[in-house]
Amino acid sequence: MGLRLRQAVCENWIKTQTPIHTVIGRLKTANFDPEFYRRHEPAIQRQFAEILAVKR
Amino acid sequence: MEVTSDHSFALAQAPLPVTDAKEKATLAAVALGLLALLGAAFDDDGERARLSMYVALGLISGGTLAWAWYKFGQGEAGVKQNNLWLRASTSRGAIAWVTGLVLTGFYVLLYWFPQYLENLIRTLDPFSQALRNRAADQWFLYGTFYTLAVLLMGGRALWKYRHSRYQLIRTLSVMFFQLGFAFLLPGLLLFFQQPEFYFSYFWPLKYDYLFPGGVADLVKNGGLGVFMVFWGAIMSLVATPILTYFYGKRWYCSWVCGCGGLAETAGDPYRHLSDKSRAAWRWEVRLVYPILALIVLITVLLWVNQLYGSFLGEIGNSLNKFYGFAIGAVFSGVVGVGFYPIMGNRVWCRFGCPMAAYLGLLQKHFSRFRITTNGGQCISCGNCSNVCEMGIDVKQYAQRGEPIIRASCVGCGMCSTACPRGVLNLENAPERVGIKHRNSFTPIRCGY
Amino acid sequence: MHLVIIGNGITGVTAAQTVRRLQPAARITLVSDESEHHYSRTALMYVYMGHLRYQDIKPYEDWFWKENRLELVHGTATALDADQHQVQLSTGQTISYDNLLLATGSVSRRAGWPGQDLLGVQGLYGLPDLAQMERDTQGISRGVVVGGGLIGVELAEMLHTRRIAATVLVRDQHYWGSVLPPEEAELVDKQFRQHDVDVRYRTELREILGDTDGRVRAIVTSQGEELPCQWVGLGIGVTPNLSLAQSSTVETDRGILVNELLQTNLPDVYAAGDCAQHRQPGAGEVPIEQLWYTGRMQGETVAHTICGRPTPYRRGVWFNSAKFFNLEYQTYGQVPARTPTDIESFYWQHPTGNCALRINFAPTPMML
Repeated sequence: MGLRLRQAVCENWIKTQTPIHTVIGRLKTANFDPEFYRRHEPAIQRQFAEILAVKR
Repeated sequence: MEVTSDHSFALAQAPLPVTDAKEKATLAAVALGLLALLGAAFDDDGERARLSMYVALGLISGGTLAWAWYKFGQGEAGVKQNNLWLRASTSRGAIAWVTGLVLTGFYVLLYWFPQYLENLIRTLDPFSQALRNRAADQWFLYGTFYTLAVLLMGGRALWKYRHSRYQLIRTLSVMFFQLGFAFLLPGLLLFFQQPEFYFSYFWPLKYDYLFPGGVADLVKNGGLGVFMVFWGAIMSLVATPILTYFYGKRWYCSWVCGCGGLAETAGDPYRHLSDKSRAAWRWEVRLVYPILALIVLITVLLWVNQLYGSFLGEIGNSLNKFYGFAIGAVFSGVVGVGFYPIMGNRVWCRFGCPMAAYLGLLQKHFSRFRITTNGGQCISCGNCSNVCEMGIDVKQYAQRGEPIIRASCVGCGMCSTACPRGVLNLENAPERVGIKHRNSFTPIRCGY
Repeated sequence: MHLVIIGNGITGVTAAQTVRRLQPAARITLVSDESEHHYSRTALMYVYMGHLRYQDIKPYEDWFWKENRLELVHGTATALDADQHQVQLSTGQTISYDNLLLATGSVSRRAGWPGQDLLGVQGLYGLPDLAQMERDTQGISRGVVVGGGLIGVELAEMLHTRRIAATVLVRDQHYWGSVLPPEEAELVDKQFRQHDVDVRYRTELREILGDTDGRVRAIVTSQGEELPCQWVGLGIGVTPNLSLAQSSTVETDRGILVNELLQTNLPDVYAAGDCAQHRQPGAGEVPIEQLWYTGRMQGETVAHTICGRPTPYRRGVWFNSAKFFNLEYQTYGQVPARTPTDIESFYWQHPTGNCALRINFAPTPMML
């Protein structure tokens, strides 16, 4: 929603059943937003890490 | 009933979009400003003409900015293209033709009958004295209007495209280069008794910068003049290929160039009018490359004359005169800007500019820049082609899942901005994620 | 080989282009009663909003068809004689085929509401619908859109650009309840609010009321509320167009029944795109696919089989995209509205509510 993602990268992740950690870590490679757009990967990665910490 | 080109399909004429009272008020201010400008042009009394000019500039500036804010600055940020093809002003209606005639007429006066602009020119004397320490001339008047147009309509573009950081930064860039490098700096150079030099224009667009005559004129001004010659040569022959390799021709055409700056700001309401047909593309290559070849030939001839005596006679000079008239004045000025409301905002850049041709050849063959297509997401809606000011039928590539690598693309990024499905992206990273999958997309999904 | 394709939508045209590539010598005829040339259905809204003209939504220039030797016939296919390998046209013409592809697309669905045939009630599927909407929404003050799906939000946006007040009736408790999880639906709802669209959730259409001229004057909702309006847009989906198929011995159910090679029960007759119903859809897949993308893929697949390279239709990793007013949407893989219990869902949303990301994954081992 409101983000553009690279189809080739996402499809490859899904087809090869990539571990979620790898996906979150390499989220940048899937970014297809235009240049100079605000990058959200750090915020997403932070939130993922927080959720993980709570679970453990 | 309006019958479209397909006989099978008739669509009722859509109602004309409403212009409400507030919008009318802002437009009225602009119209009054234009009237005041006309008053200044016909008033032989210098004091009164100047006053009239100030009123005109105030009303036009205030009115334009108020209108732009009212139309585009409010509400949610996003693609704002409603009624583009329904309004007479942006769909080759009566208003567009009148606008085109007025602009064309202004250029004709400017180039060949400046005496009729004398009153207007004189009103700018105090400003010209302050900036350049000399009286105004027709080119100062032109430069003032031009820069004002870029700044005011740049404000409109900033509001209209505020959802896209790429468009915001790019628009600010063309506004900065026009105001600083193409207006204030040349003026200040004159103020300090230096040659009037535009650091943002290069050969072959500003062709005389590498002509023997142009070089001699600069060099005789001493140290700074020599630097200017050096700057011009380096920018044309070394920096241009390098920058184009990394960023594509956009580093110049849609970020720096003044012609591009006007097209991207004042010309933005007309970008969709550029012809996307294959026939138009054929005209493009028939015109723009011969023009590049011609200016290279003229440059070579002039240097041969200079270095080996004038055994070629006056061919170089006559060709130069012809080029200056036909290409420099008629094409880039009268047609290039005058026809904005009819043929789109990049007529000159697309069909005539030798710099664009040179950059285009580099971009096509020696550049990392391309617009990548996001897999099979294209729905062939045509919004990308519509907003392409260079007349590229972008969807032909997008719907096949191919990257767009075209000589003419100026990298304005509007196709990517307008795409409703996030399919297009301007990229110049080394051949990595995007390009590895460059042709890997075929709509067929068999086999996995 | 003479291939006759009924329908010039994305499926028919993709099939034609693919066959041309695979068999340069084949004779290919496209029959359509809707438009002379192929156009992009998904772009109809942009014509109404004035972003584009009709000629701008044609994916190919008019010379394309002749240069690629794709014969265009403008007419309705009225009858199919599979024994004679012939199709009868409304123009009186009879066309013989070696292979026939039925790519007849869809028609807008109507649920049998009282008053659904009044003037000013319509769906948005093709050019006639666009022309009708252009005609029937001029000078009106309020339109009601029925359906909380993709067409529903498009219709609301179209009305909004003409400054016509819009009310959207959504059956579920949130927008696109069959596809979007509640968080994402909330973002779409925010778009509705920002554009002054009045959305009624858990509300259905009960009845459409007409005036003495047979025009819409109001609707009655399932709650019994009467809403005055002059136009009703139906966005509750489409259903396969079977008008030709039902004139023949082609087996149909909701759609034209096909096997995984997209073959019908009749020899040399194929069906693909919106109108086709798969006898055995893949796991987690629906039998009737009605998307631009699936139409294109089915068209390309069936072309291979027609050219003697039998190719089963496999959809691959699911993807789709849309735009809700200013909000873009892309999805890859299966991200259902209600996350299954054996799946974990990671959801991030920007504080502004203008963008969000959801990733579903298996918890053990933690992978997509």
